[in-house]
Amino acid sequence: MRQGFTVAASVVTGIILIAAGVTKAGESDAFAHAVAAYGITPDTFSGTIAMTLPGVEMVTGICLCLRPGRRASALAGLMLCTGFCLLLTWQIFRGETADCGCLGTALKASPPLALFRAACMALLLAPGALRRHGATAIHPPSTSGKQTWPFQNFC
Amino acid sequence: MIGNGSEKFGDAAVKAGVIFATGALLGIGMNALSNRPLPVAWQSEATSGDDAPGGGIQGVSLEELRATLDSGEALAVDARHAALYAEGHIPGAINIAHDRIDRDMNHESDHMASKKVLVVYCASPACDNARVVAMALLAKGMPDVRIFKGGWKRWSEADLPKEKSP
Repeated sequence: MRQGFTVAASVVTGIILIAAGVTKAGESDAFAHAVAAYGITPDTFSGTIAMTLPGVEMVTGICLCLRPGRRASALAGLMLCTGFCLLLTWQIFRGETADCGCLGTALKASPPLALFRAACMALLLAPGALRRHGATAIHPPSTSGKQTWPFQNFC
Repeated sequence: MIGNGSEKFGDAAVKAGVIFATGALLGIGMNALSNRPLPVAWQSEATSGDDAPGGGIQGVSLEELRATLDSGEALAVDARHAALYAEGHIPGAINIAHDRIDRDMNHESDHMASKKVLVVYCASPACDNARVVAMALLAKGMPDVRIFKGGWKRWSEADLPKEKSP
């Protein structure tokens, strides 16, 4: 039951991150403006974030779905979602109510709604990322000593 | 050890870093291959050029804004949230908040029709809401819409008169 929850949480969060990355990658200029609208980075850095974040979301999402390095994937997803939560909290604190740019222009969301979504994703990933060392694994290590996932050296 | 259930937190953190680095490289690659890649030194329309916000919208400097407001031919349009507008805005400015454009435009249609030029501003040079509202005004058929790219931040820093709403 607990294992099933962790797997489902990882896959659902991964799919959302992949969708977010794909939509942002298709509208990079609009996303760069959305990043600049947060007002916390210089323009050039906003452009760099708009360039790289979609790829980061996609790779993290793929790793969460395929789960080759379970804890690393969950930790990467947790770090992303926590970062989003901090940014959205800042945006709400500033009184901004415009679309957060989280899922492109196709699916607009106000900062409070986006914060709720990011917080839920972080909570879903937290058990897998922050579990104690040596806790029961969902997929036990291979007894043959061989790695069983094709991308596990990368994720 | 990789993918092992007993993976240490430190190892996982390093691998998470590898995930981010791989993703960043993928993002840069996708940008390079896209039809409209972002330039390395990207600048938002609100800050690129001296007075050219882009998108076919003319920009105005602080001095030009003051001159057109003093002449009475321009109306300042505050694109920020209503609560921020209420705290302080350019004297005489109307509020067309970026999150309720249609409602505010209908409410302020008489005001806007009485002026030749509409100058939209938002919080600072970094914000994008002035452009969003300016585009909506142009789409509604307003003939001369411009953007004050400095926004409320630059107006406040210049210690110019402010007006509060009750």
